[in-house]
Amino acid sequence: MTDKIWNQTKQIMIEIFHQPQIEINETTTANDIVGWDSMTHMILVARIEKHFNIEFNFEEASAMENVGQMIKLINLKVSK
Amino acid sequence: MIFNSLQFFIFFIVVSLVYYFSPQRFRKSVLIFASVFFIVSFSFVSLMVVLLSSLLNFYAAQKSRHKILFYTLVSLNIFLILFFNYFTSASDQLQVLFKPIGFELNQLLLAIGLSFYTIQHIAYLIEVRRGKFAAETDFSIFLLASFYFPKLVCGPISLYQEIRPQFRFLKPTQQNIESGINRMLFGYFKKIVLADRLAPAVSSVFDFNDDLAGLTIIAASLIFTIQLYFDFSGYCDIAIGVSRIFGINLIENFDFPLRSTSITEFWRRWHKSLIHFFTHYIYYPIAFKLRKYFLFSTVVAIILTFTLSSLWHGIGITFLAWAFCHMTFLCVEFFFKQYCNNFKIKSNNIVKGIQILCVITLVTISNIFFRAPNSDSLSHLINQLFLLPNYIPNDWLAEFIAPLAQGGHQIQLFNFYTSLVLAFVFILFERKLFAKFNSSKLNYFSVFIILILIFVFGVFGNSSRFIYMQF
Amino acid sequence: MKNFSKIVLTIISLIVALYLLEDFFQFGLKQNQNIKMAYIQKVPKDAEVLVHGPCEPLWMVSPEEINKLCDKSAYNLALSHSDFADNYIHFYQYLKYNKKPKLLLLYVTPESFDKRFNTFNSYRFAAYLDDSLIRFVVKENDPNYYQYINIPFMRFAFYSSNVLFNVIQGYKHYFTNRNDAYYPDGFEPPTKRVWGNHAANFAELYKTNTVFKWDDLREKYFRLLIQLAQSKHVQVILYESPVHKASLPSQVNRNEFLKRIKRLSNEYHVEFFQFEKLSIENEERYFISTLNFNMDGVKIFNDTLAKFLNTRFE
Repeated sequence: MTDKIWNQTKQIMIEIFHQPQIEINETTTANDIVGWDSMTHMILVARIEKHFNIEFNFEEASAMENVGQMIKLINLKVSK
Repeated sequence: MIFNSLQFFIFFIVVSLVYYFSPQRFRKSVLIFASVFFIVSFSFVSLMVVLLSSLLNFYAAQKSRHKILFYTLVSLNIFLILFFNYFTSASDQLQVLFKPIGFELNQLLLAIGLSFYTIQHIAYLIEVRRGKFAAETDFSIFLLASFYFPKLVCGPISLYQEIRPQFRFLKPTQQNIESGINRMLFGYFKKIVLADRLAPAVSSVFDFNDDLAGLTIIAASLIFTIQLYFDFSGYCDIAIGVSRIFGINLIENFDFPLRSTSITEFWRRWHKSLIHFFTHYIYYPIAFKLRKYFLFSTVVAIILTFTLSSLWHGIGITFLAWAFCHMTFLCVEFFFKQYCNNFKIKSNNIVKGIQILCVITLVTISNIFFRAPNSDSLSHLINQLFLLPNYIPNDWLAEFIAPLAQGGHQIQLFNFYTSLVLAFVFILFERKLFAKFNSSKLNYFSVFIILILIFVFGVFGNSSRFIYMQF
Repeated sequence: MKNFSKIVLTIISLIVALYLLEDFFQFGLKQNQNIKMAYIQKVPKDAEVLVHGPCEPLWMVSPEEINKLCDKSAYNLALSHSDFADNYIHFYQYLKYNKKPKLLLLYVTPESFDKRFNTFNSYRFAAYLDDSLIRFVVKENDPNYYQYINIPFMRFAFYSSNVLFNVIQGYKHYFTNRNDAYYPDGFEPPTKRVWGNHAANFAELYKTNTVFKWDDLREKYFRLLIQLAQSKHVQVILYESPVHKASLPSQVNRNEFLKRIKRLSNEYHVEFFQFEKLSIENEERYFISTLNFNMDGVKIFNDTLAKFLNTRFE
């Protein structure tokens, strides 16, 4: 399940940031990925919400600049 | 007491000596007294305003659960900035006319640093209400965080959670002191030599109603962009340097913005502390609320954020026009990245160089609006820019060089060209110079050389004020 | 301890370097033939007629013409945008190194007594602050500058944009053994200026009603200038060259000022002659500003001036 979430999240990022060669892990942050900045961040959040059919609040959305935390949150919401 | 004055120099030496010879537990008080003295040197009213503002925010944070009080205080803070800016810009027209160098607004004295510490207060209130950290219970620390003198006048704007712990230790090491002196010298060089030498050229074009060739106006705006960078970043260097000597770390406000390869990148590197506030407390909440509209949310958030940013800088069509330029640039860049990824060019030094030149050009255009002292002057300048037959000067000396150099005589040309050469050489070697003057090891020979250069090439007369002090 | 000695060494080196720079600048400035303070010391003129004041006499009175038409040697000591205190120091310097003139011809106009017009150019005297009188005048007219002059090199650094180039030019003159100024008799012809110097803004000063404001410091140095001349038995004549007639109505209290100047001149038994009611003052084509002629106007004015002087030589 978690692997699926990792892969799907990675796909979404590839689409939004237009970077075909993205690699993500527990410690990846917005600074490590070209195209991921404050302008694309909330778009990423919205797309993840739409794809996994979940909803974040503002604090959660702001904290999602760290991929590890992001995947944990998605896991939590999806398994509810 | 502006940073480049003999009074400040004496003040700083005295405060540093008292600080060092005081026991650690008294150092906070030394900084408080020093800051009070510093503010009062501008005006007594400034002290009253910061005291009152700090008291209100301090109290409101303690009662952060109280919704009405919270919203009232945030609104009051915003109102303070708008009121102060309105009052400042209304007298702009009177102040600007025959000034030899840049800005010298006397009404600043009413509430020095207000725009900066008020932003800090708003961020503080929001974070306390969100539960990020507990409200401050020690008013003396809260007050010091608000009016701590190195960052009072032009920032960097500190986050409360970052600066508060700094006031606990106050035990500078030898490395702190050496790197502080290095950084101060660097800042003074940028301000006294580079920025102030370029200021007359800018003032000559923007503060008078002459008929000018379009290219002359563009050139003056380019010089202004560079002058503003040296002036503001120089000020921040001095603030950071002074703080290091006290064992306090202030955040960086600039990251070589003139080397940005896109406007988006420019806004990650310019006035970082203010952008951090606007990004986290204005842009993100709006973008989050509208996130279901995807790309549209970005556009709306950019428009609202920059509109508010323009109001923070000042009330007037000039600031709105400046903000409009940047909104447009950012949106165009954003859509280009989203839709035109097929046009990706391999990045090399030449491409990077072209990108940097493009960014500088766009920023220069927006700064025509930013620097124009009032709307009349702005319309006059725009008229000149669109008088296409006059765009390129017929007589380069009389219509291009002389207005910028303030005359066509040898002495004026010499001064002007020297200023340009110094600025150009500095920008070329800026990274290396920054590494040298940000290190925690003092190279005494470098110190000697930079001081000699400041004495020989610096501008001391006219006591020019820092540009961002008017905010 | 090692650091402490490094600090001390750096500070001492800095102070020594600044003193050396100070000497370097001082020497260079005193060699610059194009600077009148240096020139009148290095190449004495010993003129019989000394023309003095701000830009109006500088650009309008030709010693060559006075020589031709009055058979008297002359030197034009005037300097642009200089006030009476500035003139006073230059006259004092002139008397120090030159034979005293028979006549001091000083330009005076209502603007001369209003602080907004002309100024005290302290940088001109940076290299001469060892002289106690010059030092005192600088202190009184530019106290902000004066507080810094005891810091080594600051007397030059403070006005570096007015000084650095002149120092370099001074050394050029020194190494090329230059013997004379670019304008050897001090007169600068009003040739076409490269740049208008924000003329539009300054014209505003005259468009709306101009009300002159009397400045007491200007009056003080006006008196000192005349007293200095009279103490050396130098005849003084004050004059005002023709003013462009069309500009007169907007100057609300011009006549009041002229009367006051007249009263002052009477106090010292000195003549104040106004070149007025001449046909030239109606014709815009001779003027480049309300007070200054172009070359055509200068030719006419010098003729008139010479005729006047011939009647006044004692």
